[in-house]
Amino acid sequence: MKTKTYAGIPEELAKLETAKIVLIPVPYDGTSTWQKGADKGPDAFLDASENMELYDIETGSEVYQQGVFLADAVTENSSPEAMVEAVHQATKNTLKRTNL
Amino acid sequence: MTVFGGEHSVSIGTIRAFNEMFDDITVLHIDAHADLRESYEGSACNHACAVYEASQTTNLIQVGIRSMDIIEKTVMDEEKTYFAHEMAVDDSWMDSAIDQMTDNVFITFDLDAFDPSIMPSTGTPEPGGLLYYETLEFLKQVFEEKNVVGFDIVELCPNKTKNLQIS
Repeated sequence: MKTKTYAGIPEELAKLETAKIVLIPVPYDGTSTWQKGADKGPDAFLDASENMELYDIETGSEVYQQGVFLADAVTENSSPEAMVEAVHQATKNTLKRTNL
Repeated sequence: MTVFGGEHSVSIGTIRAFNEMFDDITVLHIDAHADLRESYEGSACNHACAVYEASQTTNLIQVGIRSMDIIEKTVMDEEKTYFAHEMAVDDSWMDSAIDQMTDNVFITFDLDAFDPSIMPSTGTPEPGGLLYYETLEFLKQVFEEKNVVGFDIVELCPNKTKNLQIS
């Protein structure tokens, strides 16, 4: 099965070992107080990314050539505190592994 | 590195990790709401509390604020807060905010900072917000002058307007 990549970029540009950019989705909407749906945000963001041009006019560059790794989503949602701790660990582990 | 939500409570964990990994960090908080409650509805991890911990442990700078509870004034540092109604009439806020940042900057960007006319897809929209190109100008300046160590983008709540049919 083809691996899902940010903006549908080639898999060789989407490896953690070489990517200069790491994206971590957190589809969580456990405490919002008005309109619900923020848990659908990451999928909408990724869906939109597959339908945009990859060349940036203002900077004259193709940023994705620097490599973009899309991490597994943090899906812990048993409590707000558990979600925060899961995001804390995922962020810290990624920072340690990548020297970003 | 970018974390994208999801509601703003996810930033509590992200900011905690960056604060542990980088020295003397500034958190640049761009948002319509102050998010400075210590606890809300029984939890310190409610999205209304997104930057309370950052206010206690980092150099917190808040931009675009136009909604808060009076109790948050006891936590807010008004010298480091840029209210939307003041930003609208005085563009010196960009230089002033950057002058107050340390070198290492983490940006937490709540999409409701934008005016609802350009960003309706968010859970708690507030009128009177930032527009696209002024925001880009500010962010470019921050990236040029500071070491941006990471950022998050939160509170994208996709609306269903794409399903509306115009007859």
